[in-house]
Amino acid sequence: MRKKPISGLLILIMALTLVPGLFASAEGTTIAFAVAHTIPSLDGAATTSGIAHMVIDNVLERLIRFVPGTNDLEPQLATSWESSPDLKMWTFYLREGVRFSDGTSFDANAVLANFERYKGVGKAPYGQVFMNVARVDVLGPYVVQFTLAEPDFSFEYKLAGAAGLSIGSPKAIAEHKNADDPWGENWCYDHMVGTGPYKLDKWEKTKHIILVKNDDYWRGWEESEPDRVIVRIVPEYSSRKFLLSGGDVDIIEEVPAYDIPVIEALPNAHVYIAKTTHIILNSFNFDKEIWRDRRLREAMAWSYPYKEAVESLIGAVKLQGPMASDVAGHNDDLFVYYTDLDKARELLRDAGYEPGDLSVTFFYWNADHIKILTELWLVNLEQIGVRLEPQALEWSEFYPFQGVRDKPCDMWNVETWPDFPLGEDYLATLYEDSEYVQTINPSGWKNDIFNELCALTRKVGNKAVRNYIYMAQQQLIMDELVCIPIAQVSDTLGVSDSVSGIATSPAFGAMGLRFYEIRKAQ
Amino acid sequence: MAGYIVKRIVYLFVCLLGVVTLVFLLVRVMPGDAARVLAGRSADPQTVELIRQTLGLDQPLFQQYVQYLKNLLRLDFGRSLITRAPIIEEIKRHFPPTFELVSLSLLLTMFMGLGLGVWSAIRKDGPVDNLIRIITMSGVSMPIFWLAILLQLVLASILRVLPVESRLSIELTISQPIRHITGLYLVDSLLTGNWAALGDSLKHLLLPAFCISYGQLAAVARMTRVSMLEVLNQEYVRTARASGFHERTVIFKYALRNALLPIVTVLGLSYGFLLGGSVLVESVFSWPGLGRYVVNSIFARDMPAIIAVVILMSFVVMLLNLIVDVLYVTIDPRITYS
Repeated sequence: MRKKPISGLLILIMALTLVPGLFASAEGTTIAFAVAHTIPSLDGAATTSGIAHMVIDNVLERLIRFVPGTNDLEPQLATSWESSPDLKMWTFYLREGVRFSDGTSFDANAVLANFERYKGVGKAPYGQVFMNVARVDVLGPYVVQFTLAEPDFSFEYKLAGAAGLSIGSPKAIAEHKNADDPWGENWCYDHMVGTGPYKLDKWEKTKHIILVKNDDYWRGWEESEPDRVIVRIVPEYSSRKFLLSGGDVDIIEEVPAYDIPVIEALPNAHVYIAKTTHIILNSFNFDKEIWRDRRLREAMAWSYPYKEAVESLIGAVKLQGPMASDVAGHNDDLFVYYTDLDKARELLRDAGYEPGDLSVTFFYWNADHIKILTELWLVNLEQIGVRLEPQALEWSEFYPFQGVRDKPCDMWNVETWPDFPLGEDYLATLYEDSEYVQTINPSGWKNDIFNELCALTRKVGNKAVRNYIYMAQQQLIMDELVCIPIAQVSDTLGVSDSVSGIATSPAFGAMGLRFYEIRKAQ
Repeated sequence: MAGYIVKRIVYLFVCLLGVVTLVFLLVRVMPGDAARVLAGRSADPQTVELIRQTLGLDQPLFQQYVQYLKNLLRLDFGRSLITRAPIIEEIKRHFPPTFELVSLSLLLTMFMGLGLGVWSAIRKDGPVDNLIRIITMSGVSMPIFWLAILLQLVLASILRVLPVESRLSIELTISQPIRHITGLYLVDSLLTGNWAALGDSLKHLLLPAFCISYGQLAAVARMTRVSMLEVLNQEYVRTARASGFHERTVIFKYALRNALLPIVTVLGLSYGFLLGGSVLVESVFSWPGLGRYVVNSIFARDMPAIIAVVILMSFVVMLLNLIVDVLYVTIDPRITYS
């Protein structure tokens, strides 16, 4: 009888596909997190990517950090810190006996070397931390002092925030510098040597990144801490969901609102809603003539579908003013607009605009949730006879677009993640019109009192006084209706029932996850 | 024949020059400022201008074009605006996964398309023919991403017989990683005797490869059916049957070989469609190939990367069409090229 080669081949293929199961090994505790976006770089001095900073912060540590789940600060590589009364000198007392994973010791010189590198690379996000630093002095092996050019009470928050200083091994970086690359950027792009709980094991750029435990971690190890972390890049939400339901990963990010019941119905997972201080608002372009008439700005505010917008976002609350409600200094007395199309029509008529007369160009980030918000508003505007001309921009374009003046559009959507959870980052960063390096004032709004208050907050050490000034600033913004506040939003994670101890950061959402503090039942 | 091939290679490069010119111009009229993207949100105008100068974007368009062509001759596609890495290195990394995936898709398209087409022809107008028609028509009409998600749901999530995504299980990546030789996991695991990885990568390939091939499968099956029906009515087939040849010999040795010519044309063109399909499927299956690379590059307005991938894909499609033309002679010795 003749053999059938095709059948033989099929049997071989089937047999081969069974082989991996025999070889699979599972040692220790592994946490697998499926994320939507690729990691552009592992160099904290060069990237603004949230997912990159999440990975970096599990390998490299900072002088101080936010307590997981809160906006409070706690020491990390520093044991304590203090500022001079004029808020210009900040002294940090460092932890002794800490080693980088390459065996070298952490000390004040390591802080200095990293600071110089960040400043030299010159790409540190927003320049918020380093542009204002005039000098860094090593006062002792474990004492380092930052001297600022201008007083800044928020310096400590900035160090712990998204743009803060992640400290890597100076020896490892120095070994990979050369004349063409004086700051070792090429090496730091895909290498990290830190003092944190994990070490970089493998990074396959578009596939995954694997972190393994740093045996010498100064906080030590117990059995309960995960000794391996796998961050898988899975752009498609449905794939992330299937991985979670199949138990292949423990956490997935960006669960859309429509799928929350599906995740909740899974026998092995649930939805974790991480309340954040992210806010969404629509900004007017004050460089455009039409917005000089306040009635038009008001008409736009009355036309917004607040209720529907908030309902379309998971775990969102209506935003009162230009700041998240749970950030210190929020003004709870601000007027809150609601949807009233008749009022909007009346204001338009008073301003001399008949239905069809006004058309508004509107730029927004091409993300699903913002697209929905835009479509909801478009419907309302049609009813009052205003033509909205929306244009979606991809993030790579939208991100730099937010920071430039002379925008070609009349309005644009702002989704802002504070780099540090203080009023300053909501107010001065976005609305101050001055030469101060940290402000971008993309709306072109000018108010001298507001600008003076911004300068004042940076010099005031007393929190209560500062918060009082923040409240006044918010009042000014809303009195002049510089923007239309929409919602304060949440991050959503799909989490396996076997995982506990998830504490996201209010400021950074899921990007604030610290895997060392997560537990997984075997 | 040799003269013909040389002529076709010259044409290929002329076409490639056309593609390069067109793509070069298109990306420059697309909205977005590469220098601004690279500089970031808080960059001042001087920094943006400096980056523009560094990238040569301040030069006249023609000068930029000439420089680009010169660099291209040295296979220098420039550096990615996002990762700063040389694009040729990124292509070297992303091309093997796509080549492996699309090649397996082509094999699936070929064998399943031919098989279904032949079966359909010999069972003309019967229930089998109608069933195959339904299968193939659904392939043409079903959106590829929807099929991918559906198969993920059924085969990967519910039945758990195939993996959801990626090229290799994470467990194997850690415990028995594949030693990279060619970048093709099937080949590399075979060469290094890593049988676990061979089986695992094959398992990971099946679902995305099937999704990509399903649409083209229909075209090949329908073309095979029509071509076979025409050939089966020829007198020499009747003569072969009357001479007592086994039906299998008649079908596969005499009829199919003569029916192959138009099918080979369709298969050659299929590679282009399969490459196109990989863009969608790679995103759904987190496949780290050129398709996903180009999608990410488009979203990030990484112009040098976009141009490089389009040029490479065009070159591959043109090269395959040349190979198909040469194959004609092997399949049908009556064809000669002068």
